[in-house]
Amino acid sequence: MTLALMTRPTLPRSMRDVPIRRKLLAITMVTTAAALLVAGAGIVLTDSYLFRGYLERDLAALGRITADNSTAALKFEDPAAASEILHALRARPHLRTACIYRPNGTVLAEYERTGLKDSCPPADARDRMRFTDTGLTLTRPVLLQDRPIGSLTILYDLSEIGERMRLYSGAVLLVFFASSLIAFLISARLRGLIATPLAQLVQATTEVSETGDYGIRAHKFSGDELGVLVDAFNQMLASIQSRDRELMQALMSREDALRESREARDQLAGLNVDLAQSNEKLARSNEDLERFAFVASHDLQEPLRMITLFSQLLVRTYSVPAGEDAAGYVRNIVASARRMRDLLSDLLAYTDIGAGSLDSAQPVDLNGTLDHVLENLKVSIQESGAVITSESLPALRVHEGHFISLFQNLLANAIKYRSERTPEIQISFTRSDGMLKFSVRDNGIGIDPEYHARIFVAFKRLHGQNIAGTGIGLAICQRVVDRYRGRIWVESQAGHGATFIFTLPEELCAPLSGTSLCLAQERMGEFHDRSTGPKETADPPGGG
Amino acid sequence: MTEVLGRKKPRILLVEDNPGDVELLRLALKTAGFDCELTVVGDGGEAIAMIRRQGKYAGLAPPDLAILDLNVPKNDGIEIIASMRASEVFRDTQVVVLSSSSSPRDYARLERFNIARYITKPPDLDEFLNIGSQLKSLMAG
Repeated sequence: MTLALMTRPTLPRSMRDVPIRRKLLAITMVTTAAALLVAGAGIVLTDSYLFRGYLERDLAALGRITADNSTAALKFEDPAAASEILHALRARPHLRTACIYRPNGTVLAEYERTGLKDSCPPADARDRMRFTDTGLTLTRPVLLQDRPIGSLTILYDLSEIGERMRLYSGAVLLVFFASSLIAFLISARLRGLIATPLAQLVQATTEVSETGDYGIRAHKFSGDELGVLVDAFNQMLASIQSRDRELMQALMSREDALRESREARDQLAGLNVDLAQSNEKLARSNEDLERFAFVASHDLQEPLRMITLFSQLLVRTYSVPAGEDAAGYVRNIVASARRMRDLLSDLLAYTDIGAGSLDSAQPVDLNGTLDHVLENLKVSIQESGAVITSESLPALRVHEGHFISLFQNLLANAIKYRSERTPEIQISFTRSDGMLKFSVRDNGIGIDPEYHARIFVAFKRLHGQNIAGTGIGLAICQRVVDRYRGRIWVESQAGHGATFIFTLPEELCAPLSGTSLCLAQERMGEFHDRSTGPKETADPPGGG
Repeated sequence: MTEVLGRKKPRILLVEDNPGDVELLRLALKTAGFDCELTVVGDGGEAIAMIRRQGKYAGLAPPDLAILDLNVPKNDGIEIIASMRASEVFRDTQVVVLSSSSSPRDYARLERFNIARYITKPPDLDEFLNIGSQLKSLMAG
């Protein structure tokens, strides 16, 4: 601060804590007194100096006149005349002694104001004037035609100067006291000009510090430095007040924001709870639905089976005379029951894909899976004469049942929707860009691009009863691929065969001892004819 | 199967709640000419009471063959087999599972037990009647 750099007046310790009001009074009084004393002393000293000069000149003139007058008295050795001349000096009350000496130094005549005798100092013929302890002493030769005929000594008492000094000092003191009184009275009025605004300022600061109310303002009495100080103080208060207000607002808005965020958080927590509950409900209802579908499709198969079996048994046991009709009806019953059974079976497979956790998936060699599928499709492969070739397939960490369904549906479709040509089906596998890509290409009737999206929807069929099918096979495929976060689509033109392609994430690759894992590039392109005599499949579990 | 050969008629326990299947199985055995003594139990609770030889089943001799439907009331087929395998008397009894389900999950659950046959109930009469001769040949060893 600039204040700190300013020179600090050094005050006696006792003065430092005295109120400004009294300091001001002291300053005024001391200043006035000092000025008066200096002035008084100056006047006295000046007067004393001037008076001495005057005395010297006066005494010199007196000495010269007396000396000139006493020439005759000395010439003629007339002490009476000399004494008369000297007595004329009586008019000067402070002239104490005057002596006229003969040339040999003896006293011719003397004057002593008090009447004492023999008070003349030794004769001195030098023309000089000097101040001595007793006063001013003038010595002078008495000349006649420039020859000394005697000498004169005058002693002048200087007590007059002391009197004058005392008189002057008294006057100065009187003036000093009078002017001090006046100064005191005036300053008592004037100091209010400074002390009162200062006191007000002090009161304002005290109030602010005590109440913390920055709205308080000090009153401005003048345009001087004090006024500037008051203005500065008020400005400071104003800026503190506005900053204080801003701070309060900021605090309040922060408080608001905090409260809002707290409310938002509470709301969010509530929403999360709701969401969790909804999710739970949804999961439960989904579970219920899947369970319902499973149980329904499973349990519905039983009565169907009974209908089929007992219809057959009925015809066989009670062969009617014109039995052909009854046998035909039963064949219809059996065919319908079989179709319903297939539907239920596929529905069961469809719901089954969603069930169970993928965590329990085991590494599966898809080559073995394909063998299993070919075994399941043995009859239709043989009937159609289909030629099925496949590249080496990878091992994946999946549920094998899902991939049996996937390949079986794709291959069954390729055989089912064959053209007049012998079915040729190629299964390919490539690996690129973190994806495993499988394709099943046939030379069948193909699919019009218009229907490419529709065929994956459950129960959507493009063909009537002339081609058997439940319309759920591709929906099963779609569901399997979805379950493993893959994608399935078809590339086909009507009459030019179809290629079903599905991709799966590479993470499904599973290490499997003794087999290639996800195949390396060099093993691609090796096609193996899988349609003729796949190796004998194992019996179902428990079959041994 | 020396034990079987020593007897006049093989004794078969059938755990099945569907009367239609019971009748069809009887017909299948008859068609196959498999002369046997068939005991039918309609639910799992009854089957387990028999295996533990509780109440009226005290002192019961184990059958030569148990044919089980997996999906029966009260205790299911898996529990019945587990109970048999835990019993001293029924531990070695041959078990044939006759199920309406061909679910892979059922295969998996049965893997730990020694099962003689797993037969899915056929939806065709001739195939169903064929079960009789399968059982006959199984018992004949």
